[in-house]
Amino acid sequence: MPYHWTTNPGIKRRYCMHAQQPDSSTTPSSPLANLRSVISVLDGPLVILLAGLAFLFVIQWLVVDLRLMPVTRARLVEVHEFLKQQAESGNNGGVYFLGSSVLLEGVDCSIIDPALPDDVESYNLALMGAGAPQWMLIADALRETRPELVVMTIDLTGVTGLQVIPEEGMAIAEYWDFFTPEAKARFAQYFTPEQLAALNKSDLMSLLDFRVFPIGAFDMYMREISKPDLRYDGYTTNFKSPWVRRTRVSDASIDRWISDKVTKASAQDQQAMDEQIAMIAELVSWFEEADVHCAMVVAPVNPRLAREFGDEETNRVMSKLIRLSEQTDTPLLDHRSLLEDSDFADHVHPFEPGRITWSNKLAEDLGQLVGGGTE
Amino acid sequence: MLFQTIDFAVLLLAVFGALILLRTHTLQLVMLLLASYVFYMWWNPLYILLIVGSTLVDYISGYRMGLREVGDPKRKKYLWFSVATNLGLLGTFKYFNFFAGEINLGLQQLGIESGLPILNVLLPVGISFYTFQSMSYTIDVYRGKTEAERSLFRFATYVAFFPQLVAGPILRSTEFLPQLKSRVINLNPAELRSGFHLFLNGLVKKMLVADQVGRLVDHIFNLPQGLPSPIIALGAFCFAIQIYADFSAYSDMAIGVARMMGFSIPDNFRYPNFSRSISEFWTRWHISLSKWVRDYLYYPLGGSRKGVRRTYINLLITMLLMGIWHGAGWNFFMYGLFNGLVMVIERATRWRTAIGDADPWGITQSGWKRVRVFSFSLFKWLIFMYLRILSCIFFRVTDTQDLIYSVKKYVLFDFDFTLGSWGLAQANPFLVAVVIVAFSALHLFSYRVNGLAAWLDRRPRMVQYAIYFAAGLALFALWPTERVAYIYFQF
Repeated sequence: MPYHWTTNPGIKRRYCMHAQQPDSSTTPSSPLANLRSVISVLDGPLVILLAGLAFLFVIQWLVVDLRLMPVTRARLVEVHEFLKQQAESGNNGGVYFLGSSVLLEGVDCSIIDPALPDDVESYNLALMGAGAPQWMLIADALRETRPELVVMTIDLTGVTGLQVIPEEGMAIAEYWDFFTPEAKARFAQYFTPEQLAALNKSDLMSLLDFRVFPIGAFDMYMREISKPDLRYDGYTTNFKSPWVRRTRVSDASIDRWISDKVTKASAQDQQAMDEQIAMIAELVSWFEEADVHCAMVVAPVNPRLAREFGDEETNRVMSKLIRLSEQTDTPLLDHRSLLEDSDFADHVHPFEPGRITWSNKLAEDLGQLVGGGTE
Repeated sequence: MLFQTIDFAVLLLAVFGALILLRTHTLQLVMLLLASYVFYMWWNPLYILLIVGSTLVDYISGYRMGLREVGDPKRKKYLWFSVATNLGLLGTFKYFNFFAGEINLGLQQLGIESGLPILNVLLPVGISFYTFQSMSYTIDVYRGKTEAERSLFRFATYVAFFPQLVAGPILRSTEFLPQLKSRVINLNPAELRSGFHLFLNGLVKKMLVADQVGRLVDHIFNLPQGLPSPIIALGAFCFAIQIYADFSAYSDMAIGVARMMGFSIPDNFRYPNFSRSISEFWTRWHISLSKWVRDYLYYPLGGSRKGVRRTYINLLITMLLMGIWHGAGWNFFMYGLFNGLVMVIERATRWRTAIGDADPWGITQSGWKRVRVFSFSLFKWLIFMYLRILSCIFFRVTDTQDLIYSVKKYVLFDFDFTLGSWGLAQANPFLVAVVIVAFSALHLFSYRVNGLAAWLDRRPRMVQYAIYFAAGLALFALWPTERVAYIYFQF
């Protein structure tokens, strides 16, 4: 078939309503002229970069000097500074609780102190959302205080999942020098490559990670003043009873949270839990090397959550914790069935009566462990 | 490769460097094609084969049709070859697993265990965009509305042009192929600055609005069961903002990058949130897709020329396809059906509004007439927003049980305002509130000045610098720590 190319004379080269005709010039201008065009508009990106530079100075002032950061992050810095002060002042021999928000809301150290020897005080060092990886961040400073006892409180339904340290948490650890080289080398195997990279960043890069802190602080401040229960009052620097919640959430909300928690727990794999257990074992070993003794406490579990979590899963987790306790020769206090439904503020966090009950139970048990209590 | 990454900045620098150095049309074309393929291969190198395959099939089909006169019956064969290949790709990668899963479920309920196999494939990014774009070319060639393209390089660049490859706008060959013909790209300071403004506008929308609001939306709709109506409505409202900010941001950035290189891409949005009916909304939202289904489906079905009943059926079919285009899921089916039904009702009750109205908000009127026009438009807008937010629930909630629950809660409002105990605090609700208020104010301003980026083009240099600086500060302060892909990438 002979080649012929058909052309429909009715075809118009149409452009859309808002599109402009492109430059139809077929004459190429010189590379230099094109380069000049690009350079002439580089002022835009440069001004934006200048804004970034100015922002770094502002961030340093707001976050490092004024500590304008979300309370959860601010507490991490304050806990570390508190431990350093304790070590420097020679205030040794305390009982220190490590844990998550369950400990944060569930333990009042002023109830426990009378049960301890006169020269021993207890401190609640709970960090929101914290598990073994976060405890590693403060383990070095904690060991320096030469504690009498380190109590790791374990949330039975939380230990099944892998706890993740947010990048900002690692940036805080880098900027405020949480780790000695020895501790960093020891714990490095438990951090992901991204976390290690964050830990090895320069201070300048860490400042970039702090950029979201003032906004987060604003949000938390707004929440604080818009709610009737001032839950954050003195939270960051209170190491006795940091968080007092004054209202209970609705039953429907508890049901939803339980459903969410169980779904997340069932989605976790075996490996995630084994990693957490290995980290706890490493921490125990780290403390024992400095002649610091440890204990583990299984935190009270909301009976509604325990039912949904199931006996099989509970037994699986408990058997691992018992084995860990035997292997490391660490006392394991089982408080999981201590509280009733009404003792909880929501699906996991103890409420006022629950806090008193649990603290009394801890006082009783730790009094025996530490020995020589006055009550 | 996402626009807001260092990877893309490096690619863009390389492209501009090459455009400066390569001073012949052919070399520039080859470079643009290579850059486009690199851009796409950043997600999954293997899926470039799909684009290359689709390009070759449509190029050959168009070429062969171009050798024959309009009306030659053989042209139809090539058209079907192209359409079947493109729809086959879409069907295999996007819809097969959904239908196989549904059929297997049905068979299981009948007691039959063996069913259709489930393919172990990932959905290629932007497949619906480039297959529709490529397919429109062969249909236009068949209809004699455009010439068949002789250059394979030119056609391949049209199909894979990187700024708009993965999330539109869907380009028509009549709009774009002429721009690729026999011209050397000379970089122009005015176009570069104007494109930069559009890109910055999109970047701000994506990083400061869509990604911030999206966290609250995810928190609500990842587990909606048990939530009271006000929170479901809040989630749907926020999603309406998120999806507009996200999708229009991508379009702005794509158009901006193309403009910087001297190309013209049509607008994909014309302030859809100021519509006063769902019918008007679809002439302002994702315009390139609306026009595609209008030209290649609605009109061929007969449009509104075959009587009232047929018009309604055509509308429903068109909107159903529009819904399913977004994804394989019952929620997208419901999304299309819902929009179609509302459009039929609007047509039947003459409720439709069109963007042709010169002054829908009565701005040029005075006195009582202004109040009357504005009030009536506001009334229509409120009804539109209620329906639009409802349609957003269909779009966002993919699980059928969650979808039924959410729609029920939105329609049968329970007035349970216990907002404090549902964990919204985890998603920075006050920051989201500030972002939404600021975005709404800027959006309204943009509507009044007919485009923020175009307004910025006309400002004195010092004002431009002040705005760059403010945008820079805001971007550094709020840039999310995790990378969030664009919602429409999944389509």
